[in-house]
Amino acid sequence: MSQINRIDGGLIDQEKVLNFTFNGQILKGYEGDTLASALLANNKHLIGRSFKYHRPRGIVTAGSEEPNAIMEIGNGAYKEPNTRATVTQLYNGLEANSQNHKGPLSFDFMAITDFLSPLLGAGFYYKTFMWPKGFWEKFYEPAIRKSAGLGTLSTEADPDTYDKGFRHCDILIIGAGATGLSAALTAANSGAKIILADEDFLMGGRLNSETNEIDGMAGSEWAKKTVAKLGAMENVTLMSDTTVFGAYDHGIYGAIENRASEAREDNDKPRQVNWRIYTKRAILCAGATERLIAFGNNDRPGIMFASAVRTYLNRFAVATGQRISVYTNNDDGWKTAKDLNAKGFRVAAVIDSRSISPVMRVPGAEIYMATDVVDTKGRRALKSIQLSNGKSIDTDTLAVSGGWNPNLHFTCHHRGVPKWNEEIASFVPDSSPPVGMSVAGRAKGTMVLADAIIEGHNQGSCVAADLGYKTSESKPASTPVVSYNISANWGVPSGKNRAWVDFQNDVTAKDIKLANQEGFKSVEHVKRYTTLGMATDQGKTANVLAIGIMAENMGQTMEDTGTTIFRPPYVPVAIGAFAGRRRGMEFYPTRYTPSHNWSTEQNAIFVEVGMWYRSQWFPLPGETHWRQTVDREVRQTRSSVGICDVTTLGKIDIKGEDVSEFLNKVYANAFAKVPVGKTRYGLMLREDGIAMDDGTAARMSENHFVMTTTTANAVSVYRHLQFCHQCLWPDLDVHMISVTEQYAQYAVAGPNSRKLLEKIVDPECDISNEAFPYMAAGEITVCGGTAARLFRISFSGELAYEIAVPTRYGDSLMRVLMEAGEEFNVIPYGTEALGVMRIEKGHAAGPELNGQTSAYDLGMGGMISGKKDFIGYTLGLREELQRDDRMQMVGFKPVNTSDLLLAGSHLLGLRDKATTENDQGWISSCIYSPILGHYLGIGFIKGGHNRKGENVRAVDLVRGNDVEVEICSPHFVDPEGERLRV
Amino acid sequence: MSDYELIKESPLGGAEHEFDGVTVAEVIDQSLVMVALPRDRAVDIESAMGESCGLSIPAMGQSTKSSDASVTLWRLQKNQVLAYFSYDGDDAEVNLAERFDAPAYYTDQSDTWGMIRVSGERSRDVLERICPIDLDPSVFTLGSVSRTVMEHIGTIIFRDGDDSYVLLTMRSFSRSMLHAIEVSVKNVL
Amino acid sequence: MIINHPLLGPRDSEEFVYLGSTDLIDRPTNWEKSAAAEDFHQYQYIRENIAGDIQELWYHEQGDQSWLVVTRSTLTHEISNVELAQDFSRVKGRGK
Repeated sequence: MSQINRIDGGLIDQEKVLNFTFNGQILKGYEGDTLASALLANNKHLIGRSFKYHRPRGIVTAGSEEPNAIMEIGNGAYKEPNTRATVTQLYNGLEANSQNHKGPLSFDFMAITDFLSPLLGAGFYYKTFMWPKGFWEKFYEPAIRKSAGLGTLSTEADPDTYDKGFRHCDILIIGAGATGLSAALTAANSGAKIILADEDFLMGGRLNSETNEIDGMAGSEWAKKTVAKLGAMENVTLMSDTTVFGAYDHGIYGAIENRASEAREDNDKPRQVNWRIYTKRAILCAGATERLIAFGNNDRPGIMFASAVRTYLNRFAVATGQRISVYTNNDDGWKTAKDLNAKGFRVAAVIDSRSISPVMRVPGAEIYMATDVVDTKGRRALKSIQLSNGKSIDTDTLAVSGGWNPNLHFTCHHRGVPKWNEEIASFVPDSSPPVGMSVAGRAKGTMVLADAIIEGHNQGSCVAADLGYKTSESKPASTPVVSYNISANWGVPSGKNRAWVDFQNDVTAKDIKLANQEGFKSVEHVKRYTTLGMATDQGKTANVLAIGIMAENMGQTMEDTGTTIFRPPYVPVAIGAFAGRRRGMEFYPTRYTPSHNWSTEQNAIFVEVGMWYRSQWFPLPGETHWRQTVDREVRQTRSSVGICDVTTLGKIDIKGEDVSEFLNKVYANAFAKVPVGKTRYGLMLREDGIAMDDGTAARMSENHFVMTTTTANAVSVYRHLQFCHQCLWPDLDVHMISVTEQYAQYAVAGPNSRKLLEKIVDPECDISNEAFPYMAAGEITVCGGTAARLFRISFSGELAYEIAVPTRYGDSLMRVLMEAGEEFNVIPYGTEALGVMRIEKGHAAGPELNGQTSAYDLGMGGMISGKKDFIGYTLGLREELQRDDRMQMVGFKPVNTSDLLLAGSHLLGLRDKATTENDQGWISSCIYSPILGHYLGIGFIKGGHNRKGENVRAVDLVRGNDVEVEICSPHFVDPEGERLRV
Repeated sequence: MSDYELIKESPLGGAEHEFDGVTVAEVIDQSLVMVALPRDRAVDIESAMGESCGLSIPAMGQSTKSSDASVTLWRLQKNQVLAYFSYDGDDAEVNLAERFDAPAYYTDQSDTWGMIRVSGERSRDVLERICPIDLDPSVFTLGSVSRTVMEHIGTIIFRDGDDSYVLLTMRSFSRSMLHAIEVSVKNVL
Repeated sequence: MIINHPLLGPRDSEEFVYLGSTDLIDRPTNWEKSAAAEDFHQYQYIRENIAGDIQELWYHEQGDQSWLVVTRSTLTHEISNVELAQDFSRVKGRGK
C-alpha cells in the first residue's frame, strides 16, 4: 500500500527512495519530494487539526503560503514546531508529527470545541472572559493557552547551529520563476552582478508545476536549462532554498538559506544561514498565490487549491485523489482539469461560478456553469460536494481556484499600499515600492505568462542599463498566449454551515460579518478583532478573500475597503537564525589581558568587565573563601608590594602643537601648564555639567601627552574627544590614537614598589623619590634596554607606579616582576583588591560616576577651573547642580564595627520608616576593609558634605540588613596622602 | 647588564592552520606605525617620503608601496596613514621615522594589532560569513584596505594577494578573531 | 541602513555610532557673558522636531573615525547628503 497515489514521471527521482515517519508510521517518498507531496503520495490527507475548533484539516497548497500543514519536525531538542510541510524538502529519516490534537489525530479530544463553536465567534475572548474580574489571569488565560496555540517547543536549548553572511550584488532578483529567470538572463548578460534567490529548492517557480511550453520545450525543461546557463556565469550567484524575508533601508535585504540538500542530515553544518544582501537594485518576481472561495465546509481534507493539485500532479507525480472535481471563478482553474485528463484521470465535475460558456472541453466531466459549491460532506476526508443547483457529486478532491493574488509583500515593507485592480480582481503593487525595487510578472499583476516573461526580460535589461551596464538586444522566451479571465467570487450563502476564510486562525465568513455588524469597519480593526491574517501564514491565502467579504457586507468597493499591508518577515524566521553564531561565549568577543596566560597558571578567578576578562583574585592553596584571598592581597600590597594588570584602562596618545590647549578644553581642571615629565589627574565633564570620566594625562614631551581613561569609558571618551576635535575645534593641531593595546601596563603598588622596580629598571634611569617624585612620568628602559613608560600614580593610595612595556613583552614582564619581587613577598592582586583599596582611599569610580553626579556632588568642586571655557563649564554652574541639599558623595562606616554593610542599601533617618518618602540616599560602593577591620562604604546622601559625624541607617530590605552608620569623609586610609609621596 | 630578560610573544604564538582550500596563519614579521599628517604639513611630508622611500600617499581605501617594496602605506583615514612594513625590532617607530625623514607624527602600533592571514581559493567563501565589505576581486582590488567590524570586532582587512587577505584586530581580540575565522571555515568547507 | 561616506563610499550603518542633531556643532563661545547660561541651555537641550530632512551627526567608529554630517529624511530614511563634520564645522566658522 506504499505510495498509492504516486504515478509515473514528475521532477523527482523515483529511483531514490527516502524513508520518513509521520506520527510514528514509517512511510516512503522520493528524492525531490516535499514532506507534503510524500504524505499525499501515501494518501495522507488528514495532517493536522485547526487552531481553535480542532477541525480535521488537510494540505491545501504546495508552497510557503500553507495555512494547515504545519508540523513538528524532528525530535528531542531538535524538534521544530510549525514547520510547513509544503516547503520542507524530504530527507531520509525525517520525523514529522502533526500538531494541535489531544489523543490520536483521527480522534482529537479537543474537537469538542467544534461543537461549541456558536459560543466562540469573533471577539469571543473579549466577550466571554471579561468576568468575573481577576479570572482572566488565574483561570481563563492559562486554560486558553493550553488548548490553543500552535505546536509545542522542545523547551531544550536548540542544538542546531546557525550562521550569517554578507553578499553584495548589483541586482537581486527575488523569485526564479519564468519572470525571474527572464530578468536574470538579460541582466546577467549585461555583466551586472546578479543574485537570483528562490524559496524553493528547485528553481523554476510555477514552470515546474505547469505544462506550459516555452521555446518549444517543457517549461520545467526551459527553467532547468536557464538555471544551468545562469549558474555557469561568473557574475551570477544562484541561491535556491533561500527565502528573502525582508526589504530594509537602502537596498538591504534579509534572506534565509536552508542547509543544502546534500547536507540536510548533517547537524554539524549550520541549519540556516541568515544572509544580509546589499543591493543596488532589486526586481521582485515573486509570482502570485491562489486564493479560496468561501463556501460551506470548505475546509475538509481533500479540498485544495487548484494550482496545488497541478503541482502535486505534474511536479511530484502525485494524484491527490481518484475522483477530482474543480471549482473555479477563472480560466486558470480549468487547467487542473486539463492536466488531470492529460495524465489519464477522469475529472468528476468542473463547476464555474461565471455565467459564460465552458472554457474548454473536459471529456468525461460534468460541467456546471453559473453554479457554486455550497456545502461538502466527509469529516476526515472529503466524500461529496453539494452544488447550488441542488446536485450532489461524489468526489475525493476538490480543486478550488478563487483567482490569484500577486505576491507583492515586499512592496509594502516601506509602507507602500497596494491598490485594487478590477481586471484581475486583486490588489497590485502601488507605485512606490522601496527605493531601488521594481516589480515584474505576476507579482505585478501581469497574469499572462507570455506577458510576464516579456516583462521580466525587459525589466532585467532596463535595470542593468540604469546601473550603467551595456545590454544587448535579445528576444524574450516565447510561449503561447493563454488568457486569464476572472470574475470575483468571494463566497456563496452557506446557511448554517461555516465558510472558512482563514484556515490557520479558524476565521469564518460569519465572523467577519459579525465584526462588521458590531462596528468594526476598518480592515485593521477586523483583523485584530477576528485574528484574521495572523500567525505563521500571515493570511497569505486569506486576506484578499476577507476584504472581498467585508466589501460585500458593507456594500462598498474594494478600493474603499482597502487592505492591510505587510511587514517583514515574509515567512517566519527562527530566532536562532537572527542570533546566528552569537550564542553562549560567542555572544560577544572576549578580550584577554597580557597577563592572562600567567594568571591562568596561577588559578586566578576571572571576571568579565565589558568584553575584557580580568583577574578578579588569585587564590592560594588552602584559601577557602574569596574574602580570605582578597584581604590577603590588600594587606600584602599595603604592607609590601602587589602587582595588578591595568592594561584595560584606556590609553590615548595625543600629539600635536595644540594638545595642552585641547586638554584644557576637555578637562574641568587646568591643563595648560602641565610640565613635561608630569602626570595630572583629570576630571572630564559632559556638556551638561555631569561627571563623565576621570583619569590622568601625562606630558611625555612638549607636543605629546598620554591620557588614561577608565576601562568602561575607553571607547566613549575617545569618541567624545574626536567629537570635540572634529566638530568643535577642527583647526587645533591634535592627533589622537588609541594605544590601549600597544602597552601592557601594570600597577606596582605598596611601600616596596620602588625597591622592586629598581631591580628591573636599567641603572641609567633614576627613579629615586627625588628624581622621580609623586606624579612624575617618563620614558625609561627596563631589563637591559627595553623601552618602557613609567608613571608614578596611585589608585591604591600607596607609593605606587604604573609601568608600561610594548605588549609583546606583557606576559614576560609579569613573570619578571614576580621573580624580582620574590624577596618582598610580592603578590598579584585582582580587580576585587583593587576595588577595596580604591574605596578605602575614597576614589570615585563607576558606581559613583553614574550619570547623575556633578563635580560638586563628588566633592571635586574645588578642582573646577573658573578661568577657562571647558566642556561642562557653563551648564555645570547651574544652581540646581550646586545646591547643598543634593545627593553628595561621602563615606559611611558602621557604628558597630562588627556590622555588615551592603552596597545598594538605602539611607534613612534613625527613626524613619523604610519608605520611599524617607529615602535620603544610597551606598554606592561597599567593601570590608582588612586594614581597618570593618566594613565601609561610599555613597550619596542629601547634603552629605555638611553632615559628617551624623548617624543614619543603611537599610537593605531585599537582603534584610538594617545597620546604623556614621557619615564621614570618604578618605578612610591615609587621608593626607603621605604614603603616596615617600 | 640586567639580571632579567624580557621575552617577546606574538598575540597568537604564531598559530597556523591548513584547511582544504584555505590557510589561516598569524602574520608575525610585520610592524605597524601610524603616521599622522598635520594639515599644513601634508604636502611636505609626502614629498619627503617620496624622496626618501619613493612613497606617495595612497587614495582612501588603497595602499602604496615604497620603491624597495619593503613599506606599504595604508590609507584608512584622511589625516593619517598606517605603515605596514617588514620589521620585527622593538623600535619600529624610530626605524620608520628615520627611513621616512618626513615631519610627521609617528606612533608605534605594532603591538596594538594581531594579524591573521586568510589565503587560498576558498578564502572569500570563508570571509563572507564575517566580513560586511564586498570582497569581489574587481571591487576590492589587490592592495585595497578597509576598516570595518566583523563579529563585533573592529577589523582592518588588507588584500595582499589574489586570494590572500590580512585581517588585523586589536591584539586582545586576536583569539576571538581566530575563532571566528575557524567557525567560518567549519561552516563553509 | 547605508551611509554613503564621502571618502569611503557606501558603508553599513552598523559601523557607525549616532549622536544627534548638528546643532551640537554650534557650541556657544560666550562662556564669560551673562547670556551664556541661556545660550548653552538652548545648545544642549532645545531641538526642532522636523518631519523631513534633518542634519545629524554620525561617527564612523568602526571605520575612519570621522564624524559625519548626514542629511536624512525622518519620513523616508532617505539620505540625501553626507559630508565630513570637520569641513562642515569649518564652514560654520569654527576653528580653534
